[in-house]
Amino acid sequence: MTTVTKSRLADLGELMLPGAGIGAAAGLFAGIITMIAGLGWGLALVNVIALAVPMALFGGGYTILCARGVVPVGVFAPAALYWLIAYPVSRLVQEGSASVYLTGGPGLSTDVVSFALYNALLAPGLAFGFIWLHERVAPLWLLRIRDHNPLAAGLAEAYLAYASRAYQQKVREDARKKARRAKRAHA
Amino acid sequence: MPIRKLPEAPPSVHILGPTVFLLALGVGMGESFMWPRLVVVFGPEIRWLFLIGVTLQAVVMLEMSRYAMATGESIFTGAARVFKPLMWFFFLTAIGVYIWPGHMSAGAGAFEELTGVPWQVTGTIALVAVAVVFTLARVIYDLLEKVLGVLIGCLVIGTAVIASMVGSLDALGDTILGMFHFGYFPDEIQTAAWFPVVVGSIAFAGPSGMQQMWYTLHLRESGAAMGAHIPKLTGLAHTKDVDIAAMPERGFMFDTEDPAEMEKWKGWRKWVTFDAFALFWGVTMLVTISFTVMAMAAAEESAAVRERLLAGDRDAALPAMADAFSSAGWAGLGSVFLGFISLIGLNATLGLFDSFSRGQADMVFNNVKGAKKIGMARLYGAFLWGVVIFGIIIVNWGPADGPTAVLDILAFLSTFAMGAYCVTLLLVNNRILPKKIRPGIVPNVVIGLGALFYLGMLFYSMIKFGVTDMG
Repeated sequence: MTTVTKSRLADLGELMLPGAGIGAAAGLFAGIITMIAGLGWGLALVNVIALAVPMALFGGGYTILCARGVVPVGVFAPAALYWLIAYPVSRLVQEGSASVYLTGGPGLSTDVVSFALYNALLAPGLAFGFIWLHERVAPLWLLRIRDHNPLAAGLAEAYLAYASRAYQQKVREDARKKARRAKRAHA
Repeated sequence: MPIRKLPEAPPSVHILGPTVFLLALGVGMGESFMWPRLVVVFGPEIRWLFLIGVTLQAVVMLEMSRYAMATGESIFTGAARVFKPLMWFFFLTAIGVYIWPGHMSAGAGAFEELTGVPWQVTGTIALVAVAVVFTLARVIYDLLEKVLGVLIGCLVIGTAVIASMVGSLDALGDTILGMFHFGYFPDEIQTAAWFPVVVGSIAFAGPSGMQQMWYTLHLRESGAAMGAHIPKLTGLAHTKDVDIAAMPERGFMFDTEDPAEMEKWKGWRKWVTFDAFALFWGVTMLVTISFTVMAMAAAEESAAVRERLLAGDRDAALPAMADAFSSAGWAGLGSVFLGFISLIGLNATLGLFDSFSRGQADMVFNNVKGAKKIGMARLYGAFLWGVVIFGIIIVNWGPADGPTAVLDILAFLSTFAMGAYCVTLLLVNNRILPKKIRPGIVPNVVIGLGALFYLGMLFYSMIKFGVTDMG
């Protein structure tokens, strides 16, 4: 029973990797910016961890929602709605953590409503970047793990259905080329 | 045109349409540098011109796709069907506009600010590198496309993260409200130094110059609608594998009298409409809003930057913008901005030079006697190396006063191409296509107004101020 639970958790973790990786990258980006801006290693590390962790969890959550069929693969609007909530929450965690590190207590640069609203308005841009990368990374990963991860199989199928159109086109192209070569060989 | 079956439209509104190409090119210098620069100088109210520019571009994109998807032909072939000299006019316009490697110059200029390496050296090396990359296309182009795809994704995410860390709700509010200050035109714009720059910036709201025309080639390459019946182009290093007669003489048309075919056509139009408005318009707007918010945060901190830019020292634009970003409370943000500009310059040049060569090769291949014997891939290679050599000459010995001036000249000249393609679109879509799939009154009026807008601004600028100050 425990083994089953463990294995299911491992499958879930493995499935979350693409979205979680992209989310974590956003946190890493915040850390790099902090470093370049000369605000010190300490704050950079806080910004990396405090933004990467929630962003990774939300990013992985998005991949799971795709796998469950709640969110259709590659469609922008659901991703934008998802990050409309997820991004301000992640930024609240980051900004709050940075304030604890700098002043010893939680705080924000502005009032919480303005802060959340501002980040929510920027979220669609982030959502586009996220889904753009997700569409490029997730299918490759899912195809690698679908044989031993039943959770990934369904989502891999959804991506494959879309990719099959492109593949059929390539097959037609190859057939045309083959025919032309044969024609030349006869000539 | 021969009749063929229209393929099924994609099942859903999906993010990976050929708009990716337009986004990769369109979200570039205009959004990250030219418009933030105008906002720093004239305030966020100037962005009403951006709103008009980018909305117009979305409608142009829809109308460009109409002909390409219905026939599998590029808009250049469509122009040749209406009046062959019209196509040759674009052939010459492309050369006149794109020998100015504006994106690469601005990118190299930013790199010089970062590292001290002269922009002419970086620009020359990068231009040669671009040509080598596309000459070896089949070996590394797929990889390059993937790398660029990841870079664009990182750019968009990074922009949102930085904007959220340095901007504010007030700046965002001003940025959005600024788009609705229709008619705002401060006196400082009415000068020889700034009016041509504003004209060029409007052209750079989204994909500039001939990028929309080249988009029709990419639609064809991606197999959209009737483009599925046209073979693909390969790199110069692999011409042996290609049957040079493989490219058909003409495109194909589907049976517009068949209700089933018309149903599929509606599906394709839905697909491309989503691409145009949700992806292209929306994302271009989001990225430019993020950059503008950053620029406004910067401008508040550094009023001196505005003075330097207004003084007309165009060479000072990049360092001034970088200083403005740095003074927004983040010492190294100026370097991040310059790094972004360098990357965008390289990314845009990769896309532009590839598209330029495709477009020119397409026109010569289909319209010059004996060109088919040379083959599409060799023609592509010849134009690619030609534009690179010209670019190197302009960068090292051209008349422009610094890298930003090369970008401004390119932007200004782009407006001419854009006004001309609006006229061409009206002719091609309303004269060549079957009645059932011609554009309605609204898109026709919008495209007509677009022609007036681009050409009107351009000629007004030339008559009132001349263009001597551009360089």
